Amino acid sequence: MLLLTRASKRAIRSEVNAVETVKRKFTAAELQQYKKRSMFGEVWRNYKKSPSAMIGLVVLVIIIVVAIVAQFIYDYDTDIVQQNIKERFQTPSAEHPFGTDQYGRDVLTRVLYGAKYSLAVGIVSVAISCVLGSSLGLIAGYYGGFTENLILRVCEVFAGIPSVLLGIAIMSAFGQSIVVLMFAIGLVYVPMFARTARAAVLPVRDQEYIEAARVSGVGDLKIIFGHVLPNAMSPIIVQVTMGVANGILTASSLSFLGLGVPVPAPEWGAMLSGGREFIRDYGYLTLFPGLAIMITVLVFNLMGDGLRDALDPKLKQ
Amino acid sequence: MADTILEVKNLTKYFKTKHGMLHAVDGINFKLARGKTLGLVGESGCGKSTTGRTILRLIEPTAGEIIFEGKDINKLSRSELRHARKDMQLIFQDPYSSLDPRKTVSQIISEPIIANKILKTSADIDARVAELMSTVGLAARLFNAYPHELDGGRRQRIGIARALAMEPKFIVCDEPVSALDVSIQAQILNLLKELQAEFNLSYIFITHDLSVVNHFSDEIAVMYLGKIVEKAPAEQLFDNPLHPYTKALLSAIPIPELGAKKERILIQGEITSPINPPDECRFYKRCNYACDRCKALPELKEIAPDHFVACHLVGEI
Repeated sequence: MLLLTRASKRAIRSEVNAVETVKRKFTAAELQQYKKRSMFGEVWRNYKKSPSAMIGLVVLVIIIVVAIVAQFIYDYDTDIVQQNIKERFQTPSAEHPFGTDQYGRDVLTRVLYGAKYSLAVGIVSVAISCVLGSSLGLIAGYYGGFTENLILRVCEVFAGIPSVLLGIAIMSAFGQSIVVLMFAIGLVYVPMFARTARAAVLPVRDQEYIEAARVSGVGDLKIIFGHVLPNAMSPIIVQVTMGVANGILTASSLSFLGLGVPVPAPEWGAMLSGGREFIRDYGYLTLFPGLAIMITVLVFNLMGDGLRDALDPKLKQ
Repeated sequence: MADTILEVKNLTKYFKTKHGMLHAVDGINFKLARGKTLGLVGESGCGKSTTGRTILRLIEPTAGEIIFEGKDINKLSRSELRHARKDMQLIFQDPYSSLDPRKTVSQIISEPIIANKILKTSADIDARVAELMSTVGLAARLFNAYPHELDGGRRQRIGIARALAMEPKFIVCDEPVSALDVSIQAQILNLLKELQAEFNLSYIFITHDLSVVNHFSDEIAVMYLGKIVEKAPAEQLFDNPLHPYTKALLSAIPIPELGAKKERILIQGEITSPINPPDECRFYKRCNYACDRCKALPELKEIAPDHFVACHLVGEI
């Protein structure tokens, strides 16, 4: 500061004076003008800016609406599972746009009706693994040391078991139902979330704003969920979108092994594996459920990307 | 000193490393009077910041006493410490990493108020935040701005407002201006001065910039490798530096005059490793005056009233 010339000193003084004028009490009305931009509104405004994310959202809404409507217009016993051997293996036509399967059931009806299984399994299982796994990862990353080692080693043990095998073990221990299936898949992906979250926490943990929060008297839990989590969110969101896809596919594999949703139910994975035998002659049997899975997974990916960007205040225009 | 707010006795912090004990802070003593500023000066890695953080118990000290307003901070339980931290705050060096990028200005400033349950209703909190913002010279329109939208000076003002939120009596300023450019430095220093006068604050002002500390401090302590080598009232230290290290540091301050010639004292050689340092004067390897006597660790002795030096050769050089 000894280096300042007279000119730069004058410049500083004028700046300081400019700051002085700021120093006065604000009235409540003045403050109201700048009052809270709501968190949700903010995120939504940013989310809307991304066309691909909006497409994802719209398509997801359509899928959900279709899944709900299908429950009401189709009767499970007559439309979905009843066999009709006369009409088996019909290629797509005006009457059966997606064709019929080896038992003569309309594939379109089954795909629409089956949306509820795949969506439910995908979303619920990811919710379970995300909440459990991310919490473990956050705790491991934030506290470090022994806690971290313990959590990570246990996760590694579980990650070492092939996911389908672990799913089979859980399914056969607790019985075969869609609820158990959700939990089984949820638990299978806990280690993945734990490790992702922990890796995301590491660069955040040593930031000074974490220390600042501690000096301010903020408790550990509040620091973890108020500061660490929001700043470590992006990889977790990406993991969620991939997790939905993985969940649907794992559910399909389990169904294929006869351990998922019980057989005649039109779960997409089960339909896929049912049509596998006929893939050479009747490819559409696997094409349509496969497309359904693909579109659902894609939709979640688009939304995940959009959400990640919308949640980051730095990317705001 | 009649009204001592903080007394540090034999404060020591060793870090365990693979190669041995790293002596970051090695038995330092000082007193800080209420409403005064102690400048802590030294080169990078000499333990200034560790000292500041250890006083706030953000880092647990290895040994020593930190007596703040008659209580030993070191012996407080977690909840007592939380309580005590209302009176002692920290201003960070880097205004970029010390503010959570996902929080708005008002959220950042209100955090300590909410965490310590000082005010209950959100109207009260907003009013207090607005008051703090005007105290540090931030315009009300920045109420809901994000830190990345602001320049370094404004960000540092946010950090100051956050530190002031608890109405502390004592603030550790950890190089609060070294990340800012010179004109902004002056603004922030002036602000800190004004706040000190207004709220009767006591500062520990950590810096490596002697010209800054000269303007700012009542007393200056020069640190070298975890030890205080010289401590004196600011003017006395500048007029009559006694330790060879202080002399060299002062000779490095540029003179703002064209053609001014000044003898530079150059420090040669490599800094002693802070890991298990030998029991000789810490400055031994680089000191121009080193002799056999310096192989014993010098004590910090009072040479003149309030002027302490740790050198065997005081008066001879």
